[in-house]
Amino acid sequence: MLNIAICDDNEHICSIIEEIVIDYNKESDIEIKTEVFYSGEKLVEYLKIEDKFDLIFLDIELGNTTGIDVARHIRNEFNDHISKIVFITSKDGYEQELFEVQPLNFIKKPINNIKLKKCIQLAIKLLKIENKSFRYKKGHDIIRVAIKDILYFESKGKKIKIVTYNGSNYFYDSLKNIKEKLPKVFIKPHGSFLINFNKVKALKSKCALMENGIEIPISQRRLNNMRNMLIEFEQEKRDARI
Amino acid sequence: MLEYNIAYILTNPIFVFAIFKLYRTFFDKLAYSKRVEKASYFLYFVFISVIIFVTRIPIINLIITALFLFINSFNYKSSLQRKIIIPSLILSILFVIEMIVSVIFGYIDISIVNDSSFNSAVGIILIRVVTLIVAYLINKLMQARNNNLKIPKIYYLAFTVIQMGTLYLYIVSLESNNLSIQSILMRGAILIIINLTMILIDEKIYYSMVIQSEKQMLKEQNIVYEKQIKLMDQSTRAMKVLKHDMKNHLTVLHGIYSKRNSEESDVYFQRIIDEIEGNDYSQSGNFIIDSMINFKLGQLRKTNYQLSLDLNIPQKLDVSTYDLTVILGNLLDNAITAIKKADRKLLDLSISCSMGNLIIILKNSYNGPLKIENGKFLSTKKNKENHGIGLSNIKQSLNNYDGEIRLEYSKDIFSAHVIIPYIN
Repeated sequence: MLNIAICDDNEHICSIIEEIVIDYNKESDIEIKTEVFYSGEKLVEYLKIEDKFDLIFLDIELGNTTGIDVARHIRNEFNDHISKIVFITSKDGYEQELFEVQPLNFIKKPINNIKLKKCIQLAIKLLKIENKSFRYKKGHDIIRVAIKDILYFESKGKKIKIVTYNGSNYFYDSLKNIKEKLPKVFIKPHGSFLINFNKVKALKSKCALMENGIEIPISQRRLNNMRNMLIEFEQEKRDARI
Repeated sequence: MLEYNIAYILTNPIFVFAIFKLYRTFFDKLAYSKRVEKASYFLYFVFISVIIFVTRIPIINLIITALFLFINSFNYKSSLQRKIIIPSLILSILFVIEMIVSVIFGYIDISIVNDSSFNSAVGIILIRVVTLIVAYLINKLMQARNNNLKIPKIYYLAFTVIQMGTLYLYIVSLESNNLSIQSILMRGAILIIINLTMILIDEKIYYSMVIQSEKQMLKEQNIVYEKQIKLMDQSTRAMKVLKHDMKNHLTVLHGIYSKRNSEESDVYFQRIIDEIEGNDYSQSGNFIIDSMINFKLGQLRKTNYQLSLDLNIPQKLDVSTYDLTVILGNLLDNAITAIKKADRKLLDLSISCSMGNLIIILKNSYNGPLKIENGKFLSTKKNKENHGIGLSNIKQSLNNYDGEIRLEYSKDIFSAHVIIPYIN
C-alpha cells in the first residue's frame, strides 16, 4: 500500500500527475492511493488530522505558501522525516533551503511520464527497505523497531545503544552481529557506531550530522565508504531524473 | 680536527634545512603542528652537533641520519609505504651527493687539498652547499610541476650556473698560498650567504609567479562571465520576441487543435518550448556554474556530440567562486579535449546537492587504447595521468573543503566524481 499526495496549484498539472500514477498502478502489483491538493495550506490541514503520506509530489511555486514552506512544515512541525518529497518545478534555480528538507528528487515541467514513474519506483524501493523491522532481545522481551525509525546504534562496552526518533534503549549484542541483520543503508562511520545513512542530514568530512542533531564522528579510514554510499545514492536519484 | 669540527657545526643548519626542504617536497600534509616539526629538526641539529665530539665513525653517523629520517617521516600524513620509501630516497640522495662531491674533490689538484686538515674542512663545506642546492632545486621543480606553473627551463639553468659558479670560485680561491683556517671558513661563510640569498630571491620570484598565474585565472573567469551576461541578454531579448509572437503561436495552435491533429501539435509545442529554453546549455540558475558550462560547452558547438545535462543546485552555494571555477573549469577542459579526439562523442554532466555536499558526476568518452597484455591493463596509470592536466589545481581547491575527486575509466568512458562538503 502506497499513499501518494499530489500538491500543485495548477489543476491541469495535478491531473497529469494523477493519470501517470494511475497508469503506474495498473502496471505494478502495489496498491496505490492518491490524494490531490490544490494548495499548500490544504495539504498541511489534511496532515494535521490524517496519516502521513509515503510520497508527496510537491510544486515549489505554490500560491501563497511555497513548496519549501510546506516541506519545512512537514519535516519540522509534524516531525515527519520519513515521507519522500519530490519537488515539481518549472523555475530555473532553486533556493538553498530546498536542499535542507531532504528531497528525494526533482522533476521539471513539462512532466515526463517515464521520469515520474522512475521516481515512484525509487520511492517504493526505499520504502520497502524502510518498512522492514529490526528485532532485538531485552531481558525476556523481543522488541521490534521499524528500520525507518532507527537513527543509529552505538557500541558501549558489551551493550548496544539504539537511538530512534522515540528515544533510546540498551541491549546486549555486538555491532558486527547487528550489521549482518540490517539492510546495507546501515554503515559504520566509526568503530563504535552504526548509522542509518538515510537519516544523515549533513555528511561532513569529520562527522555526520544526524536528523536529531547529534553529530557522529567519522574516522579517516571510513570516510571513503561513506562517500561511496553518497555517490551511489546520488547516481540512483539521477538515474530517475534522466 | 678542529677545523673540520668548526666547519661541520657551522654548516649543520644548512644541512638540516636541506633535509627539511626534501621532506616538504615529498610530503604535503603535517601530521601534528608546525611547532612539532620545527622542534624535531632543531633536536636533530643539536644532536648531530653534539655527537661529533663523542664519535666520528662514519657508519654511526649514517645510522643516526637514517634513524632520524625514518622517525621524522611520522611528522607527515601519508601511508606507511611512503613513510618507508621517502626516507630511503632522501637518504640515498644525500649519500650520492656526498660520494660525487668527494670523488670530484679528489681529482681537483690544488695545494690546499694536500693538507689533510684543511682538506676535510673544505670538503664538508662543499658537500653541504651542494646538498642545499640540490635539495632546493628538487623542491622547486616538484612544486612548479604540482602547481602547473610554466617556469622556463632557462631559469633553472641560470640558477644552477650561479650556484655552481660560486662553488667553483670558492674552490679556485683556495689556490692561494698561506691560507689560514679563518680565511677558509670566511670564504665558506660568504659562499653560503650567496647561496642563501639566491634562494631567498628565488622564493620571491616564485611567489610573484604564483600570483601572476592567479591573475591570469581571474582574467579568464571574467571573460567567461562576460559571455554569460551576453547569453542572458540574448535570451531576455528572445523572450520579448516570443511574448510578441505568442499570439500568433496560439492562433496556429487553435487551428491545429480544431483539426485534432495531435502529432502536428506535439511538434509545434516542442518548437515553442525549445525557443523558450534558448541556445544556452545550462539554466540551473546558479550564475557561476551556468557561466562555466555555457562557455566551455560553446567550444563544442560545431562538434556533433551527445550531451546530457542534469543540474539540481541552489542559486547560491557556500563554495568560493574561485574554487568552483577552478574545479569545474578544469574538469570540463579535460573532458572537452578528450571528446574532440574521441570517435564516439559523449558528455554526461550531473551536478547536485545532497547531505550538504555538492556532487559533480562527469562522464565523457575518450579514445583510450589501453594496452592489454596477458589479460592485464598495462598503461592504465599513464592514462590517468594524461587526463590529469589541471588535476592538481582541482585537488588544491578541493583541499580547502576537505573534498575529493575520484577518477574511473572503462574502455572508452572516463568518469570523474567530485564531492565538495559545503556545510561546516
